[in-house]
Amino acid sequence: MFGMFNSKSLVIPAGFVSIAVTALLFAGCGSEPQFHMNAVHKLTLETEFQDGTPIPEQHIQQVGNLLTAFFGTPDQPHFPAGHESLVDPERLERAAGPVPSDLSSGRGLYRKHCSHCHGISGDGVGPTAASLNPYPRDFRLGKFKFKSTKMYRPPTDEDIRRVLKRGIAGTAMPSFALLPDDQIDALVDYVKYLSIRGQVERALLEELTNLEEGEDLLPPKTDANQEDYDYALELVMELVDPILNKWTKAETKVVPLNGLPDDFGQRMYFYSDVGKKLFFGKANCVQCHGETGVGDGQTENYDDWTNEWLKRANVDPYKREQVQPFLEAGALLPRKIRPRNLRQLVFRGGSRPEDLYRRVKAGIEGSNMPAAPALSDAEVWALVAYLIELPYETFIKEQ
Amino acid sequence: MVIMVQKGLFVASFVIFSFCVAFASSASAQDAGYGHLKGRIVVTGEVPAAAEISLSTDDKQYCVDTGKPFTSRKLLVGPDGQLQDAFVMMYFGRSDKKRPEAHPSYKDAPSVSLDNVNCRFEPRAIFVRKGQALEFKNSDRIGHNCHVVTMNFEENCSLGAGQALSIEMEDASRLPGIVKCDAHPWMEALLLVREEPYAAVTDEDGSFTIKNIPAGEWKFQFWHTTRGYLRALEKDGESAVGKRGEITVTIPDGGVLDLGDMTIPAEFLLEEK
Repeated sequence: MFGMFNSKSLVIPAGFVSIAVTALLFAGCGSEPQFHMNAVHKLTLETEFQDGTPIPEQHIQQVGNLLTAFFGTPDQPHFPAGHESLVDPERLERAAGPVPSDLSSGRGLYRKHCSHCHGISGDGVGPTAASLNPYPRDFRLGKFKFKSTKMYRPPTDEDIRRVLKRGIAGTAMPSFALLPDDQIDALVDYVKYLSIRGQVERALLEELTNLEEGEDLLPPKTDANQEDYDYALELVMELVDPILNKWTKAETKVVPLNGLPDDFGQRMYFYSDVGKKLFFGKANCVQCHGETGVGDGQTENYDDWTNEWLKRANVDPYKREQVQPFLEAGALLPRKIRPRNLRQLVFRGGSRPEDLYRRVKAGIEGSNMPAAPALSDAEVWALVAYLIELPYETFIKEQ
Repeated sequence: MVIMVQKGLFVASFVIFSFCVAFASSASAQDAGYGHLKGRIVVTGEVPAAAEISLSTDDKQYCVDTGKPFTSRKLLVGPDGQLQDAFVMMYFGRSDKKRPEAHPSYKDAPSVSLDNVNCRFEPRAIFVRKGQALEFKNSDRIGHNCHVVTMNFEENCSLGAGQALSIEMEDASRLPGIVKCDAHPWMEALLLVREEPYAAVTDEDGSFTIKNIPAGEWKFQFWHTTRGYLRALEKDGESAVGKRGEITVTIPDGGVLDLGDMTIPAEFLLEEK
């Protein structure tokens, strides 16, 4: 809101208004929150590519300027021109901004419902984040676990909508089913907005490590350097466009629900037995989920959001002095990822057969759950049948 | 645009004129307009024995390596310091728009395969072209997964015992990424995906050869998983590369540019980042 007030004070004479503004600022509710720079990624890149030499402040500033030019601020967000079909400006406007005191204008939805866990920047480190398990999602990697699309392809609007409406069982993510549909839609677009903004930020930071000596990501524009400036902008757009294009094509990457056997319901025991054999054999679920399915097979891994800095910066999670700088940059204490305990009948991505089918068939992005291209559709459905029956089975001693 | 390109070249150039250019004999049928690049990377100084990887009883059951010690393969160095699994790849500065045309011999390149043997990836480092399929095999009696993580492309597929599958590399990246198996955390292969066919991985002898590069000036970059850019690479005791481990070479028309033995100090590779 600083920006807004400053520009206003240019046209409105000082006096009453500026006093009111000052009063607001001191009251603590007038200061506009800002997007935080992805300091964890910055530190990771400095460690990975430059032996810890800090990226020059002026380059970081250029990334900040570009992000503001593309995406605006938390109070005044906008989206790269020509991509309104991806993120609707009106929905963006409604989801963004401060929560109004009279609750009637319908703005500030993200800050009202989401930011205390997911943070203003969508970094997943809101005030409550550190005490939650699992941690709230950091949207900035553009990775989502529970969706209908192929792994490593963005989710569809409907996928995000479903998570908002149903929440995520077994986590702190609640259901927002009581919100009117238009508010849910606004939040769906805001999640995409934060996610895409975060991906662009990461790509630009990454590009900083690729600059030649004396080169700028985007030089300050002067009368003399139009050609240089345009070319630098062209190079920046080569990083931004692929990110936007992937989101635009999300709908085309939906994993089809093929081959549901006609007698699936009637012959559940049969399919479940087939699935059980696959569980221990070809599909190799046992490797991570363990012989009894409680998720104790492989428990030594981290998820992509943690590996993101842990692995790339070569940090030993058991050495506090190595971890600490990343915590100070905004990372949360690394926690190992547990394969799902399949005996609890609590499936985060939904427990409908079609949800289970997609988890098995397409895997779970960001976790260590792989896709299963080697399994036929019938085999995947058989595994689904087994997953439904497994919680009621006595502990298996041998296959 | 022109101004930027020249600025970039001026700063990053470590032009190597001193390397001997051995012209190929008439016997090796070389196409006009193309030349080869070869060389060898040798580590100077002492490299300690690789650390042993501790396996659980379960893992030992499936991952026995015929009694051989099960050690880290992050830094493989031959008896005379030959550096294995270093990548030599074309380097393009941000403003270098010129890309090489692939020589016709690369058109029907054989597919690249990556096997899982005794819970290790074989080979340990590979180069694949964008659009090419990587053929995964699992020769083990236990399941693995093929978790590909590069800068611009990721995929993760389950691969049961004795199975095979193929994954198309849809996007290129400027640096090597990894293939890992999440079930066996020590398993890691290095994977470079590039649009152009001009990259190589050093072999057991520390040597590399990149064939049929369009004649003319190109930049090549040296990279190893221990430290990333091999910016401490030397030739005859003198620094041979820029800060991103890059050199500028002139590929002779119809000939071979032999960079000879280039050296890298062991302490550089062993230093913790």
